[in-house]
Amino acid sequence: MLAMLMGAETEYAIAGLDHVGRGLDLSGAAQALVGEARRHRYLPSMRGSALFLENGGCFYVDRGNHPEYATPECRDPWQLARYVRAGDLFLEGLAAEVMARHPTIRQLTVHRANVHYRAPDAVWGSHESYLSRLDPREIGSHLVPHLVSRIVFAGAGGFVPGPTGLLFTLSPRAWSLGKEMSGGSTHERGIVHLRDETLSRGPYHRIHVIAGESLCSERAAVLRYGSTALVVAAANLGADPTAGLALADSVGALRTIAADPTCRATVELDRTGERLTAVEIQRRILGRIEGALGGLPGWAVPLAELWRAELDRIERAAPDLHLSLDWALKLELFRRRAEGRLSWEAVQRWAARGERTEAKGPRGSGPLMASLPFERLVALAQGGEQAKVADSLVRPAAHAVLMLEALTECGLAADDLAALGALRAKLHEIDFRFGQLGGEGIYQQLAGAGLVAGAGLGEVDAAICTPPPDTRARFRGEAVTHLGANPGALGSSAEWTHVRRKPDGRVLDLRDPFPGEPIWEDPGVTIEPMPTGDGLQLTLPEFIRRHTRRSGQAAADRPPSLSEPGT
Amino acid sequence: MRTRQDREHPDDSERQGDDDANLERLRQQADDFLAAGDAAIERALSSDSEAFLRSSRQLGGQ
Repeated sequence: MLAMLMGAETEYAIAGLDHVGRGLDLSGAAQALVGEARRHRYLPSMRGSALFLENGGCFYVDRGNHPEYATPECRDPWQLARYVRAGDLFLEGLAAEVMARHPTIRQLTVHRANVHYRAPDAVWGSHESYLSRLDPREIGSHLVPHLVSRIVFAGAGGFVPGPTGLLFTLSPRAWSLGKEMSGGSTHERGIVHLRDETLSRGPYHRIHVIAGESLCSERAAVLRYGSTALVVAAANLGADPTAGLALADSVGALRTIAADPTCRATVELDRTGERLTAVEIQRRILGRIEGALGGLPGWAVPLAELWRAELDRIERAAPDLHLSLDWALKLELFRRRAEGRLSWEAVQRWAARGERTEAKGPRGSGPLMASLPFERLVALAQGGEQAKVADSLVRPAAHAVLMLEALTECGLAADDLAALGALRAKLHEIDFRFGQLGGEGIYQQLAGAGLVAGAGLGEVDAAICTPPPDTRARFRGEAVTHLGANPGALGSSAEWTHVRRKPDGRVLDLRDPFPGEPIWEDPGVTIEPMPTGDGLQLTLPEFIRRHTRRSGQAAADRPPSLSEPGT
Repeated sequence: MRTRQDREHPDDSERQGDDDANLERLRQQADDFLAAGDAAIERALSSDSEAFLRSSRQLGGQ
């Protein structure tokens, strides 16, 4: 039976107000979150400023000054989704503590977000890692058809980060992936990431997937991690889960699928020229996975059932698809905000034509269009401002002309631009608030009311301070618990592959992904856990009691029933 | 409309009843959801979305 390990990193967006109501200094706010995390048991990273936590995971501020949480290594997708959600609760609690301790911060909110539409270069990553004996180059071709087509259930939903910012998409991140494979994760991002930072020894590699998006639906998250882990696992077993499914144009296929909320768009296969929908591609992958179930971990059976059921629901456009998929839920919410002359259909028609103006219009003006108040299109098109900064606005002015022509073709008029701008701002804020952590967040409000489908994640609260019991994260987490509370062990540090304790300098070697026992260099030395109570550290159980909403979680564990096939 | 229950209950009148009940359940579920969605948005949104988006503008990451 193939043993699997998997993990996830989440980059969070933050927002807030200072004590006089101005926008918060976000860099300072991110550091305040780290400062608050230091009040809990942790071990600092040997390199950099990351904090390793009692659950074996890691918290840090990454480039762009955003807080980031990496889960501990997990065995199955349900466990992984639980630890991802535990990270949300941890961040939510930290934000509450920061507000309580810093009188100059009136409001600090943390968000699961994917794209900032006003600064389309600003994206927040949600990355996955899978243990593999095949390296990223060997497994890349297996992964591409899966990563391209899985967005029908793993897409976060939102808007194409283009000139109108109003065209709905299953996956905003699809527009940030410009290559099939690449080694970069901040520029020239590929559907498959070729970086091979194994973080283990022996025959293992770490498959680092950067094509994914931050999801709120627990069920969609389980499917995302589980289906991808099974593709990796099946390839490791020598099966070829995506045989014959290579795409003629994978980046184009990704955007074609992402642009179609009916999930009926077809994309072309490379060798045969056959055209398949994303669901049909997924069914073929799933069929091959089911053919290899004998060698896969036990959780593969229920995951395959869940996978097939969700594909059925997507294919027949189940009326309650929004209960289980982020993109479908957002689509329902967005659609209701567009009314009257600015019906959802009219707005989508204009947005689709507006996006095409970027392709056929002047190059390089798209980012300006994305941040421009719509009302200014008219002045820009008429060249009213061209005289002031002629060179820089020649291209945008030509672009504006195309966008206004498209407006007319869609039965709208220049008089509608102000209302379109207001609608765009509201929809973008809904998208941002959808993933806001805590009881004010839109998804969390619906989950708390028991109106979305859960995934049976179990005790999420406990996962904040308890590592998974059956991976190397257990030994890391236990070391954090013991050393992080021990003043005599000051200077101890951790990494994914090691823990170094002070004062004796002995090292716990965690390079083996499946260690049987925690072995320090000198096994005769034991580190006794020290009780807390020094007045500085808040124990995590107390932290949990203060900040998590058990009632909401309980409601989320009682999901509504989903529609049966054929309805 | 065909449901899994339909195939288990071949009697037409019974099937129609199941369909109606299922449809009604879905409608009720959708109504509840949409009402809750409206309330959630009302509670979550700022009074000035444009200003909020400007103030939350930030650098992303990977």
